[in-house]
Amino acid sequence: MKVLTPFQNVMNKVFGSRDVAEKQAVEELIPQLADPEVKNRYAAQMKLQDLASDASKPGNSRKRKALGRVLAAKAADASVPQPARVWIVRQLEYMGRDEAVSALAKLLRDKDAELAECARRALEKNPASAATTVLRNALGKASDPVMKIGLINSLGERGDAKSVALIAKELPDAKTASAAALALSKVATAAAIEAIWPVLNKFPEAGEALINAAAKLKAKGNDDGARAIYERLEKEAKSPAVRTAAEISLGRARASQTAAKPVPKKKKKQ
Amino acid sequence: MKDQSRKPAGTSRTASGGARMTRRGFLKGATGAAAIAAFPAIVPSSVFGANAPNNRIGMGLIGMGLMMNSHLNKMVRRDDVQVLAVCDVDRGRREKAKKQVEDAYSKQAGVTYKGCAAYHEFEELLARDDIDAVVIATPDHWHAPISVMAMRHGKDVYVQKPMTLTIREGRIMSDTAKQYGCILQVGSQQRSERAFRKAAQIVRNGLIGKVHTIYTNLGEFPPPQTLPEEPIPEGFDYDRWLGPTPWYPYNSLRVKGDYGGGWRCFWDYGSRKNGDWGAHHFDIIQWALGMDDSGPVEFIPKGYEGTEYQTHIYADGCKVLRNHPVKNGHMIQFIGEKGEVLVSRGDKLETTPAELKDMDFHDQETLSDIPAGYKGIWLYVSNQHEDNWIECIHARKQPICHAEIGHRTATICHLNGIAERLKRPLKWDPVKEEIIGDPEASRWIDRPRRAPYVYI
Repeated sequence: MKVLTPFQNVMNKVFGSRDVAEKQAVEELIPQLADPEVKNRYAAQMKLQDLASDASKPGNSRKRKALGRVLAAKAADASVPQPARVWIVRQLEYMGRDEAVSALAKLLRDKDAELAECARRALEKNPASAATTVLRNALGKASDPVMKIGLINSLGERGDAKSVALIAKELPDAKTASAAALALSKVATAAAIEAIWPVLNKFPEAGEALINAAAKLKAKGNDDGARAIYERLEKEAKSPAVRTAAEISLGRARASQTAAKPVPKKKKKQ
Repeated sequence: MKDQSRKPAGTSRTASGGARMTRRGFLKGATGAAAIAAFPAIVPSSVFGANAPNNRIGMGLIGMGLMMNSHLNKMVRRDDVQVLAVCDVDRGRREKAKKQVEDAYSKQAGVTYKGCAAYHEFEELLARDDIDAVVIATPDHWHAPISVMAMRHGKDVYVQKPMTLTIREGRIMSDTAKQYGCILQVGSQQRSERAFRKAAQIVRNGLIGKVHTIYTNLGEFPPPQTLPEEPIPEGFDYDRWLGPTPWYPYNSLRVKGDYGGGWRCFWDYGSRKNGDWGAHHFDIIQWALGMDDSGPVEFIPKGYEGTEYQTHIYADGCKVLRNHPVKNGHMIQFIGEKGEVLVSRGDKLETTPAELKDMDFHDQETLSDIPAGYKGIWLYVSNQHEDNWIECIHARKQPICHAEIGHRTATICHLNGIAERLKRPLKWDPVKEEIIGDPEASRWIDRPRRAPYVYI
């Protein structure tokens, strides 16, 4: 990152402008990130990646936020060339937080499919809760099946219980059904699991999703909830692989129950 | 040669050159309701055992590039395997592979054989009930999605190394293998080489004392590049080749299968040399240290505060230094308090004391001469990696490099890669499988997937 001149430092203090150093560093890289000679872009990409890595160090939160704000502004700026915006959004994927959400929300609606998809992935990884809201709202309005699949998966990855009804609506559509079942299994609330049962045996991923959901419940300590799913799958699933998985899990649960039972003491001989 | 292109479904080659009805073919060909009622529609893999009526494994091969050549040749030579299908996103490659399979079977049977299907999309191959097992030799970014889907369909899996693209994928793969009772072998085949096994046995049994330092040579790839767009070749599904990874314009260098570069150079498709060779050497180190269900606790990239060699450190202080010169040009050098072990491919093994290398761990008489402190640990013996997998499919037992082992090794590859990219050290909790105290680095435990390629 370029060191500020004394004049710039004074101006920064006097006028209170933020992120001057970060802005300058990023702006210097933008033309190179979109160099018409494609091979020349690599060095600038690595410089920006290093800036983002450095800013994302533990204890660097102020620096991270400053760079995050600059990158978000440049990502949303249509005057910045597309290849530069794409690389900028890719950095936000691994260091952006709440300061990047509104810019990424705007990009999610961009006509450039690559930018919109990059923004969706960056939102998926963004730890701010506002990112979930943006993704959820976007799914409510999405019509393109590919974008829908991406949004469904992102919401599943984020375990968003508020999206269950929205995702469940996609189960009857063959294009989105698998992604929806998988996402619901990642959410694995009672409502999410309930939504999958009616489509069991309608497509293979539904049974697999229920196996996933049961494993998720078990990992959370809800053994009874998991067992109920396995028992029902054992009876109702048409897929032999899913039935086998249910049987294996039930067998393991029974074995661990038996192992956990105290061994009855032998009666002493009189 | 007799044309058998119209032979009924379910017939298959025999060693004697004739065609015989398989159990599956019988079931599919049976017309009576009684036949359907008498047998399950799908023969579960659990019935395949040495004494089962049908001992043949229906095989699918996915990703017909460089690595698949040797797998294909081994599989078509086995009597207990029938390669039923191949799959690749490159039409030329899949058609060539289909021909290779059919030519091999035709040659063996002495008749024209036309029983190998060629698929563009792996989902179609996995949907076939007569395919019991798959070999996956795609670029790394497709390993986990295809493996997980295969296991969820009840197939056994041989997947090339490194097992995954991300740490989380490995946890999912290992859990899926357990959930579905699948036999998954990771192609870190050095575990099936005698010298590496012996090296691991010597180290594991404490015969060179406590190991404090390990050198290993992974080599270097050239840096990745930004590449100009080229026309996508006819018959090549580039979008599917990219799959869950970010979109880039097509360039032949990006997709090239090349041991010295090609796609292996790019972070988007792997962990570069840490993944490519780390999946072999880190794997042997894990084995030798008895860490197959665990791993190191710290990863320091080359260049960090003057660090000369990329280093990862186990909880007991044992350090693994990448690309530190290794004595006599070996691949791995274990340095212990009482001696050394040097090992390489080609059955090359040197030890200090020298007599360690001559010990036969399966010979009780030699064992009686082993110095005090010998721990008596016997390691899994496999002398051929694919054979071990097939044997384990028949016996329904764990192979030498099962999913949890592959996951733990790949985790080391990926954490070294993440530290290298971020240019800072990482602390790792191998029990919780979490990066400690670095939330932004933790995001790299998994990577978001490009739609619509969302499978796990």
